[in-house]
Amino acid sequence: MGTSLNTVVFDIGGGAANGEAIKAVQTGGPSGGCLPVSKFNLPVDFDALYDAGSMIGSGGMVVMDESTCMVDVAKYFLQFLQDESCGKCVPCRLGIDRMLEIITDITEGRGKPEHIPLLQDLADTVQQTSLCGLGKTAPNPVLSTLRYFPEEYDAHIHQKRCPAGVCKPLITYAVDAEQCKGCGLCLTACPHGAITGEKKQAHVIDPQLCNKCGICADECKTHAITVN
Amino acid sequence: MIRLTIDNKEVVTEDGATILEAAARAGIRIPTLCYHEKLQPFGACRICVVEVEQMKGRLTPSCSTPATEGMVVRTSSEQIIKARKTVLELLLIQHPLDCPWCDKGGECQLQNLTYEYGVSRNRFKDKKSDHPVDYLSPLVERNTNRCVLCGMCVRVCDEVVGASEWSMVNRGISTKIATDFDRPLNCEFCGECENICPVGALTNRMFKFKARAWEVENVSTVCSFCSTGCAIKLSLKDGRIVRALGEEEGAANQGSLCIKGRFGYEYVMSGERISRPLVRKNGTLTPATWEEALQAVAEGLKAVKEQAGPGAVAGLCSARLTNEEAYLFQKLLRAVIGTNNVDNSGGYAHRGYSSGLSLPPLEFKDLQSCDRFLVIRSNVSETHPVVGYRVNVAVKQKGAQLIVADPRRIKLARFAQTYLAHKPGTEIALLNGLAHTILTEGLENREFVAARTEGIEELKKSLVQFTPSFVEQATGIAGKDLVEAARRFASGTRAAIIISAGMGFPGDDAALARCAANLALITGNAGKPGAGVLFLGEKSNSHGSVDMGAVPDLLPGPQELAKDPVRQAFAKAWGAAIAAEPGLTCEQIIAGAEQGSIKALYCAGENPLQAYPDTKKTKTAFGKLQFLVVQELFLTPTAQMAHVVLPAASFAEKDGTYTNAEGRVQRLHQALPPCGETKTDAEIFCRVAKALGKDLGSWNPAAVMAEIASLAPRYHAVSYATLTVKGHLLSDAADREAPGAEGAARFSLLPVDVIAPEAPSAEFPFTLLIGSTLFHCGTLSTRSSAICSVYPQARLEINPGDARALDIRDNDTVQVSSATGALTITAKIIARQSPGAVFIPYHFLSPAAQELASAAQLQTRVKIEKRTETSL
Repeated sequence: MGTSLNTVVFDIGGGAANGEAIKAVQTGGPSGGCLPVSKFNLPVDFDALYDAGSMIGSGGMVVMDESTCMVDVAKYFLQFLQDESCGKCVPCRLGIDRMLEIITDITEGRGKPEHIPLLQDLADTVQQTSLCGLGKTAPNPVLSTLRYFPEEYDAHIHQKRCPAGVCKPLITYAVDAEQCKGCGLCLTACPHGAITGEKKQAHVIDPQLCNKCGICADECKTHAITVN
Repeated sequence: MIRLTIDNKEVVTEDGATILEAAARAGIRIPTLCYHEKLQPFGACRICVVEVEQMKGRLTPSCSTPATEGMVVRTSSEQIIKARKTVLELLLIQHPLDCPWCDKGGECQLQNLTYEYGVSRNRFKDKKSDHPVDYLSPLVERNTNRCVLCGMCVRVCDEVVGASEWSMVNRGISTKIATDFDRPLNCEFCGECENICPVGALTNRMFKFKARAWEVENVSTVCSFCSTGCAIKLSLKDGRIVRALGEEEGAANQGSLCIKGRFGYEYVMSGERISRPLVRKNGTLTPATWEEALQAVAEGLKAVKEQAGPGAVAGLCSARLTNEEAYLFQKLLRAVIGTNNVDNSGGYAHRGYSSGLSLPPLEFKDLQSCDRFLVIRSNVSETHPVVGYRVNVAVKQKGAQLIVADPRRIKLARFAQTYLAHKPGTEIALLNGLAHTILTEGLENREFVAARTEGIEELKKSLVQFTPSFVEQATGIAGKDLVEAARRFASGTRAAIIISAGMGFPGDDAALARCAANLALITGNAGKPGAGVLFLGEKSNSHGSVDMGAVPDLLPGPQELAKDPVRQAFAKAWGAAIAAEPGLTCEQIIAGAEQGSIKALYCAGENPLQAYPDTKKTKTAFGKLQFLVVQELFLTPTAQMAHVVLPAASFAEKDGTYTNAEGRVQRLHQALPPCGETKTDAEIFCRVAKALGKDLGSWNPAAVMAEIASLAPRYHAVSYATLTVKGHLLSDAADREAPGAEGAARFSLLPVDVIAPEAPSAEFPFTLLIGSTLFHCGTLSTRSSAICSVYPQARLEINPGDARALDIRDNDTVQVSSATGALTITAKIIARQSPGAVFIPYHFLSPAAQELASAAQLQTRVKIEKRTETSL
């Protein structure tokens, strides 16, 4: 209690195992909030985390690196909370469902600029009016990511782009012709037959057939598969 | 008391009140969707949120937050309105918005709130809900697409009705209201769920597509079935009743109804109603004019009176006539014909109510403050369901303890702490046994007994023999169970004893009522609200018809006919001498007809051939009558035997008053014009009197009531000018405060001999219990198709063990025979029926349970045989 997040994540936890940059920590279990690295100087105590839009909650922490999409994280936790809602009070039963629907729209490229104030508004009401602790804290994943990572929502809504390359409907896989050695590993591995190309020549991914499973990127020895 | 501020207004409220209740008392409205004053707070809809200064940072649900001292509450602010609007938007996303053809349109809470908060567009979008609509349930249609999950149907069914038919199933976004396994409804069909539903999820199938809510005209009146006297509103469109609603202001029922009240009104508009007078010509009943019919009645009655004297004429009236009509009927017989031979079906039971009970009646609302109940010889949940709701609320919501004594495991036995399954007909031994145990264990209220009663020593002496072992032998109740029940009963501070009367309950009501009164008095349960004996008559005016003197030995008041000054007062008022000799009771009238001493009978709304015991005997007796006039709604078996049939108006077609079981005089208002050429019973009595050359006075109900008030002290304060929808509770000092007013109440001495039912014989091994079902009341409800859609026919209820022994399966046809008669009937195997006894409801024409019964015997013994193919 009182130890800073920095100490917990970097000193005690040793930072990211793969050496990537840390992006955020999610504290307090599913209905907690996500705090960015800039808030890592906060001590782990009730008031500090609550004021920052999260909570101690279960005491759990999920540390995320740059390969994590914060909009997707909010969606993930909302799915969990929707499952957990007992359905008795209106704001929790229907409010979480709606927030999830809107966030799903955003991650699938149907996001609109007016979705941001709408989400904010709805999250406020759910927080204010729900019957029990679950509903009152359920908007935290949405509110905290809106507060600390607005640029990620902007990228999804305005540019139809997922900066972390996580939200499948918003990303495309392509072969960097300069890097590709034409080894054919990706071609044989692709379960959808979306990759074509002659040996020793740069291969091509057919976006119509590509299912964005990422197997090609995993197989490629030369890092020639790009995600946009 | 608690002081708080709501919207800058100082509000004082009692401890335990919620913010919502405090605001309502101060006239401040807070919108709600899931709150109802009859139910426990639920807090699901979140429409009622308010801001409380002491609870900053969140909105507080006012329905479930208790008001506390110094609270500062705001019921409206920008934030509150925003929250309420958002909640409404959420509810409207999947709601079908089929308001143009939804039957709740115009009185839908969601619609009203949407309008009030101006939710003209929805920021959220999704597919509309598309669950299948339940068209299979009788009387109630379920369309969960419109449901807002306020849970009120589930709660009213559990907390008030006690049927627990609805539940919330699944969870989260998949939550819905359903029955077990989502089957169609199979319940009490009281319609309370449909009535309380704030939206169109549960709707009244009888009202479907009949009218928009704003098109109907509501007429406030009183239900015509049982003696609960529920205040109802009949909704009218184009001169037809399209539905019945409980009147929220009604003191007896607070808006609640049962299946009979809500769905049973159809008989009023039945095509089978008699619309013209009928006179028997050449052996057949032929339509006639009123002049002809009245002439025939006058001639018939006059002939008998002249030949055999006024004592050869008798009158039987229905316990469903209004007070004014019952008064005029007995006046017609006493003052015009000159006989006291007048009785009604309540006459079988009235002695208990009027002469056995020295205690004033209980008020229904006070039942909810009782902490002990003894329900004996009363299936109150079925005969008087709305009174049963009060017991449910006291027991289920407020923790009252319940003792049920009944040979059948009736519905209330499910909630009872003590259930005593005694042998049929042994109630008196049981009550005496309870009193004996209380007195021998010293559990009586000595202070009360000393100060307010007399005769305790005689009582003790008379109870000596009722030891637990004696009672065990007589009733079949184990001694330790009796002692436990006695201790439980005596440990309460407010105990109510509930007893029913009616055609289904043969036996000595006076003795039973006296035993119950003794038990109440020794435990000090008198003279305080909710404590005492509640005696429930069967029909809507069972109590009023006794008060009006439509019985052989009482004059209106009721006042004893035997007393000279009483008789003289009436003789003076009516301008006619009144015979001092009490008249004949129902049984004696029928016996008299059989023997030839009764030659003319006037049946006003009474149908002895269907409702009275021993149909065969009654039929023979009526066959011997020189003149039978029947005044009826329908061509009943009795009317079919009549020489003249006079068509009468139904309860919905007349003004008047009923007096219910708590002694509340309530006003009927005419909703429909009389059907065809029918006239009200009051008008007919006056016209008959006129044809006989006498004047009964005005038939205007208000004028008749004024006459009653001038002659019957108990009704002194009743006046049409002051009767409101809450009615008038008969509660003068001599009445309510009887135990204290005269210094000390008298203990009526007990009938020491136990009325022991004869033992079953080898020939007739079963005891037949004849009674009422939940779905019917009297024989009138069998004319309502809605009620018959859920309970069309009498069935024999038999215990599974007995059925097995006789090789009877569900729905088998069986022959039931008694010493009096025999019938064939479908068997229904049901665990609640006690072994050795079977039950048949008496309402139906065929099979008619009363064919088996005998008025002379306390218990009907029967044998049951399975009908095989060959015997058919």
